[in-house]
Amino acid sequence: MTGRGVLRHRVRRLALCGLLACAVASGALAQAERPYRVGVLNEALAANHPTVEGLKAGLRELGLAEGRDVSFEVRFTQGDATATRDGAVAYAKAGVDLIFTSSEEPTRQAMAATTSIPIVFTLVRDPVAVGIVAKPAAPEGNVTGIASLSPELTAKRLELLRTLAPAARRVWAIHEADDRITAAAVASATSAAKQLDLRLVARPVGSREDLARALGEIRRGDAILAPDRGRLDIPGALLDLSLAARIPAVFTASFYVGYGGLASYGADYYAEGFQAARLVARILRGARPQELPVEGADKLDVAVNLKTAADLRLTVPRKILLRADTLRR
Amino acid sequence: MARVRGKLFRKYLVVLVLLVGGLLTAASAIEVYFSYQESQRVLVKVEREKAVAAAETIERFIQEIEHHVRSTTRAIADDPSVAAPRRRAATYRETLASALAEQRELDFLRLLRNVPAIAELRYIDVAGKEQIRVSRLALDAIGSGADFADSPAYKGARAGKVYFSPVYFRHESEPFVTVAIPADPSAFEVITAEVSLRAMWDVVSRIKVGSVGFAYVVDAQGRLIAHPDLRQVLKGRDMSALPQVRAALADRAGTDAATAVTAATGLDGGEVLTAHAPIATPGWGGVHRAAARGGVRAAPGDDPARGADPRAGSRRRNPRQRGARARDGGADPEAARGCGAHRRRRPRAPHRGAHRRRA
Repeated sequence: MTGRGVLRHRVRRLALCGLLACAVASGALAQAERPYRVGVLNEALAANHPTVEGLKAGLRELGLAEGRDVSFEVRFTQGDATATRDGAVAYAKAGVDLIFTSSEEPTRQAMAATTSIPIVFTLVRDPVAVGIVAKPAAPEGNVTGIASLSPELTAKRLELLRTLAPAARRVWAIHEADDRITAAAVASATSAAKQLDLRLVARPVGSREDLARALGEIRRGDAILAPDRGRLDIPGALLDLSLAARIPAVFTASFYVGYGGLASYGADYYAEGFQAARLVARILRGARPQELPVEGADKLDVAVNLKTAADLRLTVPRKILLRADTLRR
Repeated sequence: MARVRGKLFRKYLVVLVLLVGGLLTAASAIEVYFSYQESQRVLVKVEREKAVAAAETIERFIQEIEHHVRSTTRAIADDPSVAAPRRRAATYRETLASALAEQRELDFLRLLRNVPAIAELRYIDVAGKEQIRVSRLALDAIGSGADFADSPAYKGARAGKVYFSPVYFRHESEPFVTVAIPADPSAFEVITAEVSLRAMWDVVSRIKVGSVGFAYVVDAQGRLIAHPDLRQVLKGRDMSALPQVRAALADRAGTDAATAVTAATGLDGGEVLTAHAPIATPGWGGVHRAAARGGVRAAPGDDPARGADPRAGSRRRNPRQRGARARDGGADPEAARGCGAHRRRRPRAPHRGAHRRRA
């Protein structure tokens, strides 16, 4: 081999090595740069749903910064069933790393759209009863999340109502006719109501007209036990009535107390997102949803609106002032 | 002549090479052996420190709960009027008793607000009857008179000590323990609290040593109560057969570093390196860490996940491979989920930021 031949050979080898190194480096770089993609799907009216905010804060705390490590795509469907289904399908097609849902319908749609992308749900009242998981301790498939325990708190809500408005005897539990979970919860709270010397009147409604008729039957001196938000937005209607006609009402989430509702007892939306961040982080870091049992909401908040209480001429007893997590003035 | 010299040279060369090479090989073998020992020692030391730190975190969590509950009893125990009522008129005694009960209920409610881990508090009187109950889920009750005289919690605290029940599960997946605390120095009356252990689960699941090390907690009976794979806990797996668990449980008083670290044989024969630390307050068997010997191979025997779910085992053993597959294919979501171990080790902020700025 001549000297030039050797040189050419060496140059070629060097170039090859350089190319290889470049390829490896760029591959490594590409790996490091790509943040996890989380698809957020809920029926909220705006993108800044407290649960999503809680999720972001929770992930930040766990070392996953937005933009650097995780990116969020948010689809809020304002209760539109078709949009929810389309959103779920779009996420499945785009191949996001994880779908984060709030409430039952988006979770079901996400489950229908994919059986492989992990789904973490929040604000699901009873994941077993609505058929999202069979066994909370060992969820099967690609789904896990946080149960908000709302139906179990019905008796406690009646107790809160009784303590705040001791004069009221008849309590209206208006809920959607196809909402089996609230219906079951109201039925099972009947004995608690008896214990508290209250008469619980369950009133399933199927349409807006039904709802208007039911609202018309509520009299001064009654009280209201609001259900979780659904298709008809019954809690919204009950909130308006309770403020206009000065009827004490207890809600399922502190959100309504922020808008003048008298009191609420239930899982805090933000805290639930924060709690779910742990599950999300573990899944993004390699755990499978089956390894993560469904959790019950950690933070159950009592919220009271003192201004509304004063408007309704109710004195808030000391034990509620001490127990309340949120007091609105 | 020249041929003979060449032969001799070759002979010398061979001898020299053999001699020098052999010596070098032997020397480096010894060095390798010692550095292996050394690295093992360092690894063990790190493990031990982490085990102690985790045990302390868990102990602090439990002690804080205990402290909070005790703080409700102190207000009443310190009240000088408590000693007096015996001498007073019956009606006055009743008013006083009801005032105290009310004060106690308010204390309990405040505790529910301040300590999210507590789900329920009970005050049980000298006859074993429930006097006050406040709860996050059930209705509160004053003077319900429910009988707790035969409950182990009541009996345990009446003996004058803080009692911890075995771990039980609500909603099938929420770990709870009943803590019973004597309400007064003579332990006539008792306060019980239902305490969620999820905060402890978080502590345990966050502990990692290398790529395969992990920690778990067993209760006084050797039953698994915290493990990174929560399903193992929910199955209530009995770990007391493992020698390292037995050692951890036997070692209540405190440990010296020599006995706290063991190279043990796992259930299916693999060698694992373990360290433990006792959690004194609840009398639990302590945190127990496990990693493969030398930190290279996974710890099959010590990891119940592997016995139960071979897929989980293979995934953990081979995080790099799975990660690589996910990256190449990009379309396999199952694999993408398995790549966490690989991604976790990617470099953090400083120079990634630098790359981004350049881009």
